Amino acid sequence: MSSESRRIHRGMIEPAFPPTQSVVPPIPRRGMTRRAFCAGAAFLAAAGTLSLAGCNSLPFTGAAPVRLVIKVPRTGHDVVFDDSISQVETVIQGMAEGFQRDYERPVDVEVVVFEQNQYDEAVKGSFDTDKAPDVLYGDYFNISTYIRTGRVVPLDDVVAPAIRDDLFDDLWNMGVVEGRAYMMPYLARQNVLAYNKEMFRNAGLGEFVAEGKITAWSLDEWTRILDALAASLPEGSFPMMMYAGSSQGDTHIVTLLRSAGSSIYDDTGHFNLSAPEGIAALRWIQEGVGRGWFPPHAENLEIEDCSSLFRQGQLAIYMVNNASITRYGDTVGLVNFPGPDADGSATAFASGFQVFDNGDAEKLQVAKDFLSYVYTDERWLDYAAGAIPASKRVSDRYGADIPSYDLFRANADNVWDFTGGSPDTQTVRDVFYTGIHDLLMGKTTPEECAALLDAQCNAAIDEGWAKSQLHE
Amino acid sequence: MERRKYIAIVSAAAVVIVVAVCVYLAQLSATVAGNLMTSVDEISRHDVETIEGTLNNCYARLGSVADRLEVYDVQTVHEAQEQLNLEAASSAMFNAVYLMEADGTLYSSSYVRLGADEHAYDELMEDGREHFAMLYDDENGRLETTKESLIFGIRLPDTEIGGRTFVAMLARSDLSTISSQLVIESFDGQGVSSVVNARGYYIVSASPATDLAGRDNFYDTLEAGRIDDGVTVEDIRRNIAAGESFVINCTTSAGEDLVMSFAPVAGTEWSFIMTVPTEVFSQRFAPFIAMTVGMLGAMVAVISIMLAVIYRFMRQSIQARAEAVARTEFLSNMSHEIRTPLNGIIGLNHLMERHVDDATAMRDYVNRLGKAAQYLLSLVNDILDMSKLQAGKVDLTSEPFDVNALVDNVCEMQRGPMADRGIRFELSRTVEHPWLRGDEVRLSQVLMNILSNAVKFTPEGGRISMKVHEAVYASGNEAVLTVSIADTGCGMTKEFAEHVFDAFTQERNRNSDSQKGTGLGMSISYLLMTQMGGSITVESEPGCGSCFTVIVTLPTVANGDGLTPAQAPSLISSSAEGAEGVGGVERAEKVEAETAETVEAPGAPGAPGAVRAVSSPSGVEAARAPVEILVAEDNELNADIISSILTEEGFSITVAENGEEAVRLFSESPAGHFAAILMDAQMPVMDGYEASRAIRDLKRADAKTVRIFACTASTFAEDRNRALASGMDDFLSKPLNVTVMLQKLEAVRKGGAS
Repeated sequence: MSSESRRIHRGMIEPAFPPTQSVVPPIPRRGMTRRAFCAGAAFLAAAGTLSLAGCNSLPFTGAAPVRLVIKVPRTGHDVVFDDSISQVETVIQGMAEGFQRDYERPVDVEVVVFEQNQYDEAVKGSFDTDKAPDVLYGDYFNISTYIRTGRVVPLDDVVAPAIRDDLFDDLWNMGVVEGRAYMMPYLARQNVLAYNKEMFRNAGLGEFVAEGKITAWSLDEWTRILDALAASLPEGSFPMMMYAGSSQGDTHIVTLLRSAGSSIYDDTGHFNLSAPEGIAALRWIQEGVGRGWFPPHAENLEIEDCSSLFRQGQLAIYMVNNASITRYGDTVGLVNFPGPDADGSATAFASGFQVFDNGDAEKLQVAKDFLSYVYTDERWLDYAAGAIPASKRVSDRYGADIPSYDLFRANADNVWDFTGGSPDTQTVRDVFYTGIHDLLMGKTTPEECAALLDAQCNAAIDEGWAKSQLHE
Repeated sequence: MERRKYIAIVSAAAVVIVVAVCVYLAQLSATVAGNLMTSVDEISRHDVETIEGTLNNCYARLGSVADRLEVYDVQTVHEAQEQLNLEAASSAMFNAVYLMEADGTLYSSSYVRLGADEHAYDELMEDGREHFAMLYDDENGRLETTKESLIFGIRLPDTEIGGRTFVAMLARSDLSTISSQLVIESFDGQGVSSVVNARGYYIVSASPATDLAGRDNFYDTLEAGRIDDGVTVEDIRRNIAAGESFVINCTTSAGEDLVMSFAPVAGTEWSFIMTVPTEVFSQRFAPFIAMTVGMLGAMVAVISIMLAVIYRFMRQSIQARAEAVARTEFLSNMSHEIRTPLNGIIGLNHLMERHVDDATAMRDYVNRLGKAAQYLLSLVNDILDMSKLQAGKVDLTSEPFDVNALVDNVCEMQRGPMADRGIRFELSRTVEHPWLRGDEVRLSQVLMNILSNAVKFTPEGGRISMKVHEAVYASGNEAVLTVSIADTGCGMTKEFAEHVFDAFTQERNRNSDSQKGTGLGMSISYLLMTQMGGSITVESEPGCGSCFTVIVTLPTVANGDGLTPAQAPSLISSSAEGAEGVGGVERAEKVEAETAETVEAPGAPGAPGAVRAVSSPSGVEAARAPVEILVAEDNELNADIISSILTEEGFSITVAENGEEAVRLFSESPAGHFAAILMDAQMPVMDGYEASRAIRDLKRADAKTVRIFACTASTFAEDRNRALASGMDDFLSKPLNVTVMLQKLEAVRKGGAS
């Protein structure tokens, strides 16, 4: 199914997780404001009942359960202390059940799981229907697009100082737009490049193999390594990943474009690839095609093709993240993307929550209470331990168990925001990969490609800004 | 019993119709379901053919890719992979293409190389098949995707590339790409097609997943719901694996009832499933039910109307036939009954001609002639009563009357005959509330019939007992009057007793006096009691006597309320006539006192007391005095007879030939000249009613007081009422009862005329 839903009814489904212990802190409320409102509403309702029998215009909602829709894309996820978890939607399901069980009033939570390539169908496609998400969990570079729809509410009122202090700044800041937090980070996966040590050594590149660190190479070193690999690898094996068969290639390609020192984005958040550094980087990539650095016709490949090649030992360099490196064991070494400085670059996929305002103030408040419930219950925060937890406390508790956690936390300073703060990341991705596709095919020169990307991507950005509206 | 029989027949017919309708609807439902299943099968066949066509198309395209490899004359495996890369990139159907080496090594269009030990796709060609299609899962070897995909494979003729031999070409298609081509909706979108493999994973689904981790399993879905008819998931799994076509009924976990039709897809281990909600069957069947019910309803209505019409015609026909038979029988009886006294009259007439000079014989003949005439008269009266009762044209009156007076009057009329035959008569009564409202005359007629029969059939020295009992309801508004008359007569057989209330029935075992009856009295009594809402029953035993019981419920009235002085004599005189002129009985002291008061009331001649007074021979002699009587009669013979009779009785007679002449004669006479007028009702020039009105309208002192007696052969109540309404004072029915007429005129004479 493209999406699956599981409606949770109080007491009907055996919780997938242990019941909440008494140490779980209570669900934070919006101070006295909401209590005062509830008390006032109750008073008015009682007064109305006594004095105005038959009047039903008072905003008293009774005991009917509030229906909450939580949507989550199907995403692999490991938890260091719970081998039964392999998908993040299982964790979200558990949160929903716990919330439904522990919340102060009846609530009916439906968790809807959708596929990674169906974000827009699951979110925008369901606006103004009973399937519209009240809470969305997803990767920032996908869900950031929805902030500008005006439906995602700022979450500053959810975040108590203790919560905010517990979240890493770099992940917190990813969700901040114009000074207000629209996304709550839950975990992150940091992307760096991994190289096959054996292939390197076979190619006479043993000197570049570094143990226990995320290294960085200069652009010249990169060129030398790739040329050496191209020259020495047997037929059917290739030096480095490259794919532009779909928009999924943008993360690593746009990061590679920093290799010659390009800032990629100017101060206004627009593409700036036509600058000499950008063109140089494009040329570096295009020349790599001719020098055999990438699988032939990489413009037709997908990330899974490169993943398979790397897994089969037919690709020497491939992008991994802190969660996926475990599958390769000690056969790979880690290195940052080239440029723009000596430390190189890394990217990060932060994942977290958004809350949508679908026009029902009551549901909106319950959705925010759900986030409060998750972020004040350390048990649920613990389930981020597998990737890089957004919670410092969880990192402290489980950092030692998370593979290469220290390496990646230490490398956090080299992470850059490859989205450039774009208001409509998805549209930019959709036009970006086509320019790279043509570059790889040799249809365009680096200059032409830079101009094309600047024009098309900036048009998408401008259009995004034009449509942009933030929830008040 | 007849009614119950008809109800039983109609009920049985209704049951048969309902059963027939149910059977018909069941058959219709089965037929519709069968047709729908045929449609499902046809759609399934069509869809399976579409899927098989799509698969064949894939195989053909894959073959074309292989052909182009030869055209491009690739020299190395790498070149072949590059070529496959371009093929996949340009294909709308394939996301990846693979070459399989003879040793099982798989080379993909994305340059991935899987050794024979890393996959099992080569095993799919080992059975010699030319092509295959399967749902991708990583159990056969992990390819470059985690998306739900289809894997197609074709066998290649041994193809040499770069010194290696390739035996097969495979292709991979994202399921979401090809599934949209295979999903077929039917039944207005309610029927959904899907395809599953033997393991239950969907190849085609209405809402396909894109990732292996998210795919649903058909068997899991079945497990979550319920399968009807004892079919298990294992049965279905086995059938699909065996490539069977079959149908199941099941209910999903959400409670939706479904019909699933399975059909194998040739060349695969797949099963095509057409899923149709049971509701679709109901929806398709509903119009048939509506039409059938409508049609059956219309048919039942038409048949019912036809049966009703036929029944009505049959009933009318039967009734007409019965009436014809009854008429014939009646006429036959009448002919016999009327001819009998006529025969006597004719015979007596003959004897009288022969013995006209023999005064003694003549007296006897005249006496017997009078009896025959009286019998004939009573017979005619009874026949008229019967006819009117059977035609429902008897209007019962509802006037206050005294039960005690009624009983006394009836008894009194039979006291003489009983005394003549030495019959002991016992009367007992319990009457709490004597004044009731009803038709006193008709009730008297009934009791008189019973009592006179008792007298007739009771031998000399016998006994007749009459018990009158009245029970007043608690409300005091009604009373149940029960009168039982028992005799020690000859009694009746059981068989006769069952028909005693039929017309013209008389037990042919009687004494000589029994011949006097017409045989209609009990029938008339029965019909009268029925019309009054009461009953009349008989208990009898041959040789022991009979007991007739009359029960009727009548409203009570306060003593004498609503009884005007003018009504009482009219009613009683009628009673006397209806009882065939029997009278002269003694009355209980109390009742006599009450009656005497009634007689003494002014302007009430003809009351029972008066009748008794003039019927006394001494009374008649004493009252004789010249009185002028105007007789208006167009029939000369009748006028002569009346004149002769009245003249012999000392009255002075003036005859008018029509009403107009009567008016003229009266108006020309001095005031008080005529003491009474005997007015024939039907006369030429001016009838009696109009003449009476004219006389009453005259401006003279005696116009309002002269006694006018209607003389007419029309004896119905409406005739009597019409006469009274036209201003006449009393009613004498023709043929005239001379005794009654003389009694009434004697009363006029005694009253001092007008």
